[in-house]
Amino acid sequence: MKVEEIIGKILNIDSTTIKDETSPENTSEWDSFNGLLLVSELEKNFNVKFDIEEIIAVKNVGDIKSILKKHKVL
Amino acid sequence: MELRKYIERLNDNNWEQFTTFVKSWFHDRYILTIKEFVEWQYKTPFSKTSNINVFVVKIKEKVMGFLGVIPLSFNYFGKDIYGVCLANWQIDETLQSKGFGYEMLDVALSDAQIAYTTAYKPVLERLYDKTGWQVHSDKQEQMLVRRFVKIFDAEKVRKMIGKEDMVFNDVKNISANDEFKFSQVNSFNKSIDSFWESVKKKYKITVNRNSKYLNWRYKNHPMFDYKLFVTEKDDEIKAFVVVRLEKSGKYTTGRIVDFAAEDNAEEFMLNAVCKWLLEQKVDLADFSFTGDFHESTLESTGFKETNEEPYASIPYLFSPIDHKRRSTNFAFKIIDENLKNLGIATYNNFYITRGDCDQDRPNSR
Repeated sequence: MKVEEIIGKILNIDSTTIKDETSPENTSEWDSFNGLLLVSELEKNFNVKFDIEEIIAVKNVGDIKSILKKHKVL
Repeated sequence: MELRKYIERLNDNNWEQFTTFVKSWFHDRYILTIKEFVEWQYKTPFSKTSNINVFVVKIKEKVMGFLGVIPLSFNYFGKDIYGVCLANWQIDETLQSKGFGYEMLDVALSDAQIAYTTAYKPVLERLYDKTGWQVHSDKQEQMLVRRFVKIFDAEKVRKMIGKEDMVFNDVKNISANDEFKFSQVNSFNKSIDSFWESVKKKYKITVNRNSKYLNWRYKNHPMFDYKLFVTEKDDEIKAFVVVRLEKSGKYTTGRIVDFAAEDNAEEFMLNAVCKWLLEQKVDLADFSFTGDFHESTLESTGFKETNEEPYASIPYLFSPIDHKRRSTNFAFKIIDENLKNLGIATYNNFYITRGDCDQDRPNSR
């Protein structure tokens, strides 16, 4: 499953509208509860474990992709 | 990612990191940097533990967020239950929308049967809504915290709100009948407990206003000087009122922060306290609360609801005077599902006054 599809599923929004700039600041559906689900779903789908520095560093979808690339799963 | 391992209670070991975060978020003299105040507010006589009921997010020896809950005893349709008021919730921007808020809320409410909050940030509304809270805000177009005001000095209030053409009625004199006895007290003794037991059925869902609560909240407040009044008949309490005089420059406001009364003593109590406020030369009085209570008596004693002009222009905050804030939102959650067997919680039967939240608090600057 693509990153955008996972995010779209969790936030219940159209995955085709998700860009690298998509963030909690411009997406009201991206609240604390969905943020928690998103971390869990991404870890499960890509079989990775994020550390706290990575969680803190994320500001938008582009940052999520960068971290997944760093884990060599994207 | 296990976020919960980063959440812990505020204690002596993380106090310094906590105040560093508070100072960075607010200012150096913010009220939550004063330990005596924090301990008073978050270690109430109703707490289930001897710990401070503030939960912090600590990452690499740095506090990056906190949520406080005030433990309280509640009356829920006649049954005493354990509830909390959410008061003060901040989280570092780098942690927002990542699950810490949800986890903090879950931890903080873990042993409560009911919870409520007022004046919460609009950004939190979605989370409250999603996690089973009943939300009352401008956005939801539902009833907010209600506010009634009574004008004592029309000229000064006109100047305060900058509307010289607004018409208010001055209060020149207030008479109270002699059926009851009105008096100021230094503390609430056990006779208030008998009063509360007899009157609490009127206030279906509310904080238990017994002597333990009232003395903790008002008599023992570490910084504010509250004025306590009772109305008696045949040596039995029939009503009480708690007032704080708030001075801001040349203006003085009498803030009624708590009030409960038997039906037939409501009018006497309000008239009597207004007479006292008139003697103190206040410019206006206000009373904020939720629910469907006291409305006709407030109107008959000269109070006006601030849901329309010119009363809507009267500031909420006087230290300093703030002309921007026009309303106070409110949300509650019934956590213990079994409570629904006792009665259904609605806005109308949920009675919370200004004193029941953290809204009547010092604003250190």
